[in-house]
Amino acid sequence: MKASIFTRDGKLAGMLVSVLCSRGIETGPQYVHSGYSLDGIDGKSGGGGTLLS
Amino acid sequence: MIFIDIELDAPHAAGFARTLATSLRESQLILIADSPRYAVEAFRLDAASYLVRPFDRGMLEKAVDRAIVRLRAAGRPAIAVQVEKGRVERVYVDDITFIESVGYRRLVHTGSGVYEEMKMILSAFMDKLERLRPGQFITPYRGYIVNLKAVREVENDRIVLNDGSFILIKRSDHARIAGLFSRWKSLS
Repeated sequence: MKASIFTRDGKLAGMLVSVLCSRGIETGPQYVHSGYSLDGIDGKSGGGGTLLS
Repeated sequence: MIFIDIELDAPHAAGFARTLATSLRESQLILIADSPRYAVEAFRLDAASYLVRPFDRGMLEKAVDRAIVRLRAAGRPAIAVQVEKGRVERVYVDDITFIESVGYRRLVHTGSGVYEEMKMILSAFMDKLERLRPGQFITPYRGYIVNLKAVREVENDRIVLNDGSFILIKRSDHARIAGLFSRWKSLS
């Protein structure tokens, strides 16, 4: 199971990644997006999103 | 599982969420916003949760857990039934025996009880069910949707369900309905 996150809110992203990891859901910088794009989501072509600061 | 912070780019958020929801139907959507403004859109998209800031870690955990439950049940498609204002029940499609329209109410009959839907009209139900289980639901008579999986037999003037109850049909519709039932049985 994977998760994609679309936000520019670093605090929210951190909390989300922490909750997801605690439930064994794969997540990481490549799944955190700071803009709207289908790239990198569930087999869609392209790379991941922009890293959060 | 997809989290969208609507405030990221509010003017485009709803359209983006719609695109995702239709192209990745097996995913679960969690929308996050600063206000309840997009709650109706979230309901329409069948989002697992709609979180309004401020929220704590506990609320986020609940939202994630709800999405996990829904993903695990993905092999069993379900529809959202709004049983009262602000309360939605998830009803598994295969559990539905039939849906009837009674006055302004839509009654969703299942093996475990009856749900009264407040908003959705019968044709909207049929569109959803046809998308989730093509060919499994029919409209044998005005005001009714029947799950062929719950049908025991089709008689001249009625559809007999597995629990012995029945739904009346027009004799002139018998051949059409019996044909649909027979075709569904041969394919299932």
